[in-house]
Amino acid sequence: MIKYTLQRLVALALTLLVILTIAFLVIRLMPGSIYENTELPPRLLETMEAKYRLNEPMIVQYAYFIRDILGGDWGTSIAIRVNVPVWQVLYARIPVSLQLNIVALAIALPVGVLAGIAAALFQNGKVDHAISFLVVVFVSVPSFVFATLLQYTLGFRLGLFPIVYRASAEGFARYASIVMPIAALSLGPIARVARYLRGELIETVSSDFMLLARTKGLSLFDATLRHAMRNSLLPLANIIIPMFTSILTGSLVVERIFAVAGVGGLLVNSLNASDHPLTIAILVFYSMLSLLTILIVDLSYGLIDPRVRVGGAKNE
Amino acid sequence: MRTIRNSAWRRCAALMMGLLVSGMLYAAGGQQAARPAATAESGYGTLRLTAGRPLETLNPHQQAATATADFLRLIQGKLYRFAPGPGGTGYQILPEIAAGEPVQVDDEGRVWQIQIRDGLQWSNGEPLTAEDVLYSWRMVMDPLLLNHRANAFHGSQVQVVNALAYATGDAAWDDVGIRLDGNTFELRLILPVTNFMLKNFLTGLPVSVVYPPLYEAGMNADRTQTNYGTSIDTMVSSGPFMVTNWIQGAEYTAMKNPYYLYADRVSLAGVHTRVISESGTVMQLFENGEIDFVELSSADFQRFREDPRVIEVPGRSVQRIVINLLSTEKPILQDVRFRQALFWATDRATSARISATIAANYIIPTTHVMDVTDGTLYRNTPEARAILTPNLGYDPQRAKELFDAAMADAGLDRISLQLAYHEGVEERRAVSEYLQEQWREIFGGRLQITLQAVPSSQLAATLRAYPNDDNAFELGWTGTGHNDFDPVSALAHYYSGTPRRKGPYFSDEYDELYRTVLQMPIDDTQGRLELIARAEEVMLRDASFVPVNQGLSFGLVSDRVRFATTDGWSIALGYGWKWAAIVD
Amino acid sequence: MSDLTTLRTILDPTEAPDLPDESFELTQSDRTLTDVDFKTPAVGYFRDALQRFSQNKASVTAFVIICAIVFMAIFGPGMTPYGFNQQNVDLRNMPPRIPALARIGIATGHRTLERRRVEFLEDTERYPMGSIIELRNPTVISGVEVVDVVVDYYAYLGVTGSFWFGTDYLGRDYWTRLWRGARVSLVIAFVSVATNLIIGVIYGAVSGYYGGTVDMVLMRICEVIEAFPRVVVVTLFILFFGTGLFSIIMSLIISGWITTARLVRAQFYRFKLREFVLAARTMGVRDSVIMFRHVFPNSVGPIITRTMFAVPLAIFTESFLAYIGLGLQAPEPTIGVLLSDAQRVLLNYPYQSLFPAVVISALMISFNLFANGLRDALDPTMRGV
Repeated sequence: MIKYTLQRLVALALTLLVILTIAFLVIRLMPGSIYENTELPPRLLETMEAKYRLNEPMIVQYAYFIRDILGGDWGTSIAIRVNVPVWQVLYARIPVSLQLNIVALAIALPVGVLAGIAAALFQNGKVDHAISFLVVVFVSVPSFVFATLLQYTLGFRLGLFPIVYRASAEGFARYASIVMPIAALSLGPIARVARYLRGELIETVSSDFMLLARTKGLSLFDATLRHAMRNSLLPLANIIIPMFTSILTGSLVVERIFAVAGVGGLLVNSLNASDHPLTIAILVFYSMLSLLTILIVDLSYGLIDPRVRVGGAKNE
Repeated sequence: MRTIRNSAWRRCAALMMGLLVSGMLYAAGGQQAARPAATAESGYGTLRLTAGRPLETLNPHQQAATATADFLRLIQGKLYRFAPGPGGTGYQILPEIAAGEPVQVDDEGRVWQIQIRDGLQWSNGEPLTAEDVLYSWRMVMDPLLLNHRANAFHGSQVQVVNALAYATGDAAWDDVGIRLDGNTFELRLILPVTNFMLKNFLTGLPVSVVYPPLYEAGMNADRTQTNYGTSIDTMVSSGPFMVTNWIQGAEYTAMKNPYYLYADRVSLAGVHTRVISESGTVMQLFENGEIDFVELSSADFQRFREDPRVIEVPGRSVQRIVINLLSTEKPILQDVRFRQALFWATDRATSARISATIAANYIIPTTHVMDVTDGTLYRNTPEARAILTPNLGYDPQRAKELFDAAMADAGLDRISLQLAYHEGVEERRAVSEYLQEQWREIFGGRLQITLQAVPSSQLAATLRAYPNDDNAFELGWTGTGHNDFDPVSALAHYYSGTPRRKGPYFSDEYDELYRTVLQMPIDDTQGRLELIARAEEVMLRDASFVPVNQGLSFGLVSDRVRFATTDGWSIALGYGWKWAAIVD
Repeated sequence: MSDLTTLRTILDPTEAPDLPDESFELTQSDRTLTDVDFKTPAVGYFRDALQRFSQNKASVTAFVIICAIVFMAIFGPGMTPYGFNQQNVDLRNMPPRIPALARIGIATGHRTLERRRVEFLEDTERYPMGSIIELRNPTVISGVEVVDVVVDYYAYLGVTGSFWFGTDYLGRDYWTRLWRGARVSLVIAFVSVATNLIIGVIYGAVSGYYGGTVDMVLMRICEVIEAFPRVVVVTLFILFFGTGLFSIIMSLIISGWITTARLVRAQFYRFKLREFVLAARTMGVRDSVIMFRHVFPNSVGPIITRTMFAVPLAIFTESFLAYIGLGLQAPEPTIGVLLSDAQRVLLNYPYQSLFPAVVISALMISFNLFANGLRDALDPTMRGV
């Protein structure tokens, strides 16, 4: 296990280097420069580009880039927040996004799990149908339509919650203003977890060891919780990985509609503004996030289902 | 067995609780807390606005976005400033950091003296001196910093001697045509300018003042970067308002600056801006009474068309379709008849109706002021009217004849062209789809347009790529803004000597006209007018681009705002928020 | 006999006491056996699956709805006299009017014109005779009397025909565009999902079955691909290949198969050490046969669920891309393009959001229920139940 973990950490570092390299190439391949919309005299433009080493051959730029990063210097933003170190730009935005997403996930996971179990236990009953119906509604309305409707009805028409997120408000007013963004963010995950878990549980319930569990006298309820749940958690982990990562990138729409100053729109903006250092930092941030999540989930496979030998070759 | 399972469940539950609690903690203290609002000395009411994108900096030397410029104009001290005219009509230029009018030293208008006012203060109470102005000007073109605005003293008609060479490191500071003697600046310029042009130039943000102690304190070791203006603690205001709050990416506030020279003319207590990019959200906030101003989308305009609060604001550029006359893949684009056919086949009235804009069969927009002494607009002059084509330049019959002739000569039966437009600009897409269908009908299906959505940052680059790549594009939308008080600036873009133009246009006749205008005596308004009109006519005739419409926006202003001038919006003042008042 | 003796008996048969046959007696000799052999021919796997599927009413209904939408996507655009790109700029954003339903107050072709000046109400140039249905909320704004006017928008513009689902911003028939859009969206979805499924299953199977270094490398490749958010990938594709079907499908494929691959890999991890795989391997069955004949069928359930779910999800993703401006080449509509355009005018013309939203939801619900039924039907452990 420890050996495997170490292996994975080394692999993680290598993966990151590959990602960095591709990110660098891809971003330099995109046309457009930060000086795109100013009609500067050519001589001045040359001088300015020389400052950011944009005039050097790609390989030289790459060498500088890797040297700077190894030295801990990720550069400063050049268009989105001029002259601010890139991590500081991200740092200013991350708390808001994290706050929304963590609360949204923290609500979505248990609610989704409970709904999934309930639907599975009362398979084809009224509860199951009600939950399945809600699940389908939540998944089938695109988040931007859902967020807009939420904002229009609860915020604008009924005036129950503030129309937009209020960054400057404190205490209750602020909690009130994050209710709708969180609702808009968590409904999708709730539905996905619930419907996935329902499917998994129903499949597991019909397997032999469940029959054994039932035979030894456990009620369906007990048997499901004790035995089936453990078996269903492993596949569930598979949909939670992308959820963890996509909830940070996917909140772009919700953040835009509710005017939340999170990381969601930052990538698109920096891409459009040709803010290369910032774009790379955001990409690395996202990759780190997903790499670590995957690692953690992979390592936890063995904990959830002891029969799974992580990293085991086919004959082990 | 039982205990193990239970503990697993407990661990699971604990994890969930942990997530929830940590999330809540973030919610409580995640972001920097807002500062308590500064209490204004005087002034009443806060104007509540929104901006489409966040501030990128408060450093006037680095600023690029329009929304940022709007905010910086509230807080930056400038040598001169546009203000409402006496009696609430028109405008005037008030000397602010300058003590009075600039003094012309030579005969032509190349050497000017400007005296700096005594007793001015920064918003922190420190004295603002001529040395501070000198420092700001030197830093904006500093060859190590190489700010986005390093071109400030070279980019317009006002070009200071050696300013460009200093920025590129080819000249020493002593060679630059800026001298400070006591309280008086002397500026030596390459091109002659009028008193108005100089003052207009000095109302610009890049030449406004920065606070030297913080600018210096924020320098990095090799002086290639400063963190001035990256937060409200790294800058000091000097304009009518001062920044009191800036939550990154979310909102920013300016309160009335008690140290401002004309503080008695400012009646607002403050201006609060929220960053919201979704137009639907902004609309709801306005209808809910939470903000005082909203710019209507063309769909929303249909709902508000009879609302008395709507103000129509003409856009500052003409949207046109650039034709790549260098194309070797589609050599027919080199045929002037083909290009003219596209010009005459464009139904501008309908295009304008679809996109709620102004139909434009011209290139210099209606906002250009020809004569600053009486505010005459270029487009209203008889000379500019004379070159306009009838029926807004729409004549399908003529278009078809030109098209047929060009196609016959090229030996083509049908042709397909690609039209690139800004992705995300709904109105432009609608007009493109309309033209695609309209042109297909007029030319009997022989011209097929395919539409290509391009991210806006890439579109400009694509159009600009013509010197290196003959086939970078075929047709592409563009629009270029100019200095409203300098109609010649509207011509510069098409001059073949101008670097980095959006799209190719070459004409010896045009270039000659442009050079002649530049060399004319600057007070010969009539002579310039005639030449400018001639140049525009030549451009229209060559049809290397098809002008379609001039932007139009619709502002909806809440009842609690009182504008300082009777017009509401004007070319010189815009909406003039800083001079407005609130009545509740 | 004590327990210990029994145990010994079992462990060592030679020590078993020698009992005469007479001591034994058939327990059921007085009863006839009921569990006789089936007399009917054996039911094949797929036949059985079909039988079980057709018993599931919800799934059958869902299947019918999917077929109906596919049918409309093919034939819907031909049901009106309008082309999908036939413009009429005088009839922009018309509200829906379906004559048969207008009597019961649905799709009447009425529209509320907000804040119209009272002074113009008498003007028949503006409001033709009989076009005004109702006046609401008279108020005064900036000293001007205004009122919300409910008009029969068809009479208001002097139009005689009717557009079943109204028109869009260029006066194009929305019915035609909606079904045309559904067609394009379905093609995008099916092509991308099928490709993802094939790549994902093979990739996941190899990774999960072989494990070890192979798995390590393959999974790292996934991580590298996943590191690039979809926005970046799509922007790149559009940059190099232009907007269009190819870019959209490619951007759905480039990272879309990874989830399937992960799922299959996890399933393989779960099953590859089971006894039946061991047995197969002992008997010298080839790896590829073990993978796809023995292990894979056990993962069919989750894979089918995911795949069916992936179809509407692909339509979704396409609509998200359209929302951030990376849609299909205009004027070609897709459900996503229609939806994201409509979202911008949601408050002005809500019906434009309603129709694509209903279609996408119907697809989602149907595929969902269809998948449930299919999974139950295909599950080998549920045979004969």
